Amino acid sequence: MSAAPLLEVRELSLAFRTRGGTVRALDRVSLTLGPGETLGIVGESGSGKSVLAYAVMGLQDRAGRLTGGAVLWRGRRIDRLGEAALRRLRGPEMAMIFQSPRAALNPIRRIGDQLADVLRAHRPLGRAAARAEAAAMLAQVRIPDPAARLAAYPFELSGGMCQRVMIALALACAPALLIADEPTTGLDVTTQAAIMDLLRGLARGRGMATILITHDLGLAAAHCDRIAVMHAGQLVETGPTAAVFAAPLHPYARALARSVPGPETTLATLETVPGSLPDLSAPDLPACRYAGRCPQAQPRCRTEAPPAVPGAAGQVARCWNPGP
Amino acid sequence: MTPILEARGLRKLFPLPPARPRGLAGLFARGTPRRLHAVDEVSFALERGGALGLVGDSGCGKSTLAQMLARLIEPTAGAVLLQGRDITAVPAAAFARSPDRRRIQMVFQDATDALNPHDSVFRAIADPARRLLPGLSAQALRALVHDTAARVHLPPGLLGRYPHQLSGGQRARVGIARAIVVSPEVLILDEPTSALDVSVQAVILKLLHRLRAETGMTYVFVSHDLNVVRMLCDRVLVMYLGRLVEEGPVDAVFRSPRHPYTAALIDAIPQFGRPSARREGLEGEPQSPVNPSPAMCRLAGRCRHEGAFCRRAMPDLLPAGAAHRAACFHPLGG
Ligand SMILES: Nc1ncnc2c1ncn2[C@@H]1O[C@H](COP(=O)(O)OP(=O)(O)O)[C@@H](O)[C@H]1O
Ligand SMILES: Nc1ncnc2c1ncn2[C@@H]1O[C@H](COP(=O)(O)OP(=O)(O)O)[C@@H](O)[C@H]1O
Ligand SMILES: [Mg+2]
Ligand SMILES: [Mg+2]
Repeated sequence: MSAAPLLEVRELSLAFRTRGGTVRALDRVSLTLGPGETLGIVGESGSGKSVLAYAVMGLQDRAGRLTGGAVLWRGRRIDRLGEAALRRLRGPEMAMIFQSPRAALNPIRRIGDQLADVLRAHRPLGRAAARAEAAAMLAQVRIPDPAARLAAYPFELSGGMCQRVMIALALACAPALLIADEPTTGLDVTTQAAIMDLLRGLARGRGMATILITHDLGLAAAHCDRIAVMHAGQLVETGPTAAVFAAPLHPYARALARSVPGPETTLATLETVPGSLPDLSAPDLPACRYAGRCPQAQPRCRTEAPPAVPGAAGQVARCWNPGP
Repeated sequence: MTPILEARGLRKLFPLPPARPRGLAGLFARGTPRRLHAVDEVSFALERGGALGLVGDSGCGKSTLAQMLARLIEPTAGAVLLQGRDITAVPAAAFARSPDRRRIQMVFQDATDALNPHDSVFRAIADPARRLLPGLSAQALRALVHDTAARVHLPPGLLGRYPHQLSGGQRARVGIARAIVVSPEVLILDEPTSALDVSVQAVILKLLHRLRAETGMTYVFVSHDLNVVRMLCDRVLVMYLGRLVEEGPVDAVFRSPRHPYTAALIDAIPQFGRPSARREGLEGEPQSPVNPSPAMCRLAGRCRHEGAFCRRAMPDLLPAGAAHRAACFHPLGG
C-alpha cells in the first residue's frame, strides 16, 4: 500500500483503575484503516470494542489510562493531544454514533436546533441558512417531511428515526471517518436493514471510512470490507471479511464464526464457544487471553505473547497454534 | 386430534388517556377514547409436541400474545384453549392457583428481570415447584431441584449463588429451569436468547432442542431472529402491528413467503457476502397502533405491492399452500 492510512492504532494498551483492581481493557491492539474502507470490529460483549472506539476518539472515561502504544491520524500522533485539539478533530475528521440514539440526543431541544448547533459550531452560518441545511440533512438520511420534523423533540420520534437523526448529526461536518458503535442494536430487523443501507450508501457517496462495532457477526459480514475480531481486550484476528469468516485461523474467530446461525445452519452444525471471557482485572491473565477457553492451548500460550501469523487469504491471526 | 393449544380471536387493546384538543376547548371536549391494538383477532392452533415460532418487528404484539397464551394477562376478547378447554374462562388470578397452571409455563426474555435478586438459585427453582406441586416432601423437592439444574447443565455448586453472581448464560439457564421444574406440557419462551451473545446463545438453543426431544414439550418460541426460528421450530407465525399476517411450515414460509411483510423480514436478515441490495424493503413509517382503521391492511403505505383495495378492507388469512395461510390481497408468488 502506498497511500498513508487514515487511522493507525499501534500496540495500544489501556487500563481502568477501579476499586476492584486494574481492569486491563485493551492489550496491545493494532489496526489500520484506509480512506473509504469499512472495518467491522466484532467480539462478545465485554471484549473491549467500545473502549477501543472511545480511545481512538480521545473520549475515554477518566478512570481509563493509555498504558502503551499510539493512535495515529493521517500519520500524526493524536493520543496525547489536549481536549481543544481533539475537539477540532472530532466532527470534521472523525465522528461517532452510539447504540442508544435517544440517550445521545438532548431530550429537551428540538431536532432542528441540535443540528443547527453542530453546523454553526464548525461553520459561519446564519440561523436561516443553518435551518435550511439541517432540513437538507434530514432529507439525506431519508426522514420523511424533513422541514416539519425540525420542530420535533427526540421523544416524538421512533427509535429508527432517532438513529437517523444521530447519523445526520455525525455526518454534519462530512467526517473522513465514522465510528458506529452498535448503531442498530435494539432496532427492528427491517429498520436495522434500512439504517445499514443508508450508512453504506452515504459512506460510498462521500468516500468516508467507517468502523462498524457490533456483536452481530452477520451484520458485520454483510456490510464490511475487513473484520477485526476482539477477545478480552486483545485483537485475535484481522483480515478481509470473506477470509475471516470462511477461513478463520484463530480458534476463537473460528468458534465465533460457527456459532452464528445462518440460513443453512442446523442445530447439529451450530458450534458453541467454550467457557466465558476471563476477568480482566485478574493479575495473572495469560499472555493469550483465550488460553483458558481454547481447546488447542499449549503451555506457552499462557506465558509468551503469540506471534502474528499470516493466512493464505490475507487474514492475520495472533496465535501459537493457528488452525487451517 | 384436539390441538394442545389454541387461540380463538384473541385481542388485547390497551386503553390510553384520551387525546383532547389543545387550549380552552380541551377543557370542555370529551376527547376520543384511544385504544392501542396490541393484539388484534389472532387465531391459530398448535399440535402437541410442535414448536411454533412467533416473529415480527418489536411492538407488533409478540410478548402480549405470549402472555395471553400463558394465561398471565387478561385478553380483551377471544379465548385460549388448553387441550380443548377454555382456560380464559377462569380469571388470570384464579388460574395461578389452578392445576392447569403447571401445564403451561413461560420463560421470559430478560432472566435478570424475572429473578428475585434476594433468592438463591436453589430457591428460584424450588419456588414454582413448591407452589404448583403440593405434597412434595423437602427431600423430594431437593432432589427435583438438583435434577432440574442438571438438565439445564447448571453445576450444583451454583445453587447457592444469587443472580448477580451469575453470567448471562447461567441466568438464562435458571430462567429455563424455573419453568420446566414443574414438567409443563407447553413452554412459552419470549426471546430467551435475545440478551445473550451468539456464543452463549448457541449453547442455550441446543439445550432447548434437547429438552424438547427428551420431554415432548410443546414450544411457542418468540424471537426476532429468523435464523434461530428456522433452526428450532417447525411452524412459524408472522405478526405485524397486532395482526397475524402469515402462518405456515417454517420451510415453506422462508422459501416462498406469501405476505410482503414476511418477504421484507426475510430479506432484511443480514447475510454473509450478500451485498445490501434489498428487493423487498419497506418504505416509510408504520401506521399508528392506536385506533387503527378496521377496514385497511396495516401494511398499507409501506408496501410496494399495494393496490386500491388494500385501503378499503382488512385482508383475511386465506390458504396459501399446504397448512400455509397469508392475509394479503396481493400475495407473492401466487
Ligand atoms: N469506565 C470503566 N471502568 C472500568 N472498567 C471498564 C470501564 N469501561 C469499560 N470497562 C471494562 O472494559 C471491558 C471492555 O468493555 P467494552 O469496551 O464496553 O466492551 P464491548 O464494547 O466489547 O462490549 C469490560 O470488561 C468493561 O467492564
Ligand atoms: N401495559 C401496556 N400498556 C399500553 N401499551 C402496551 C402495554 N404493553 C404493551 N403495549 C403496547 O402494545 C404493543 C405490543 O407490545 P409487545 O407485545 O410488547 O410487542 P413485542 O413483544 O412484539 O415487541 C406495543 O405498541 C406496546 O407499546
Ligand atoms: Mg460496547
Ligand atoms: Mg417483546
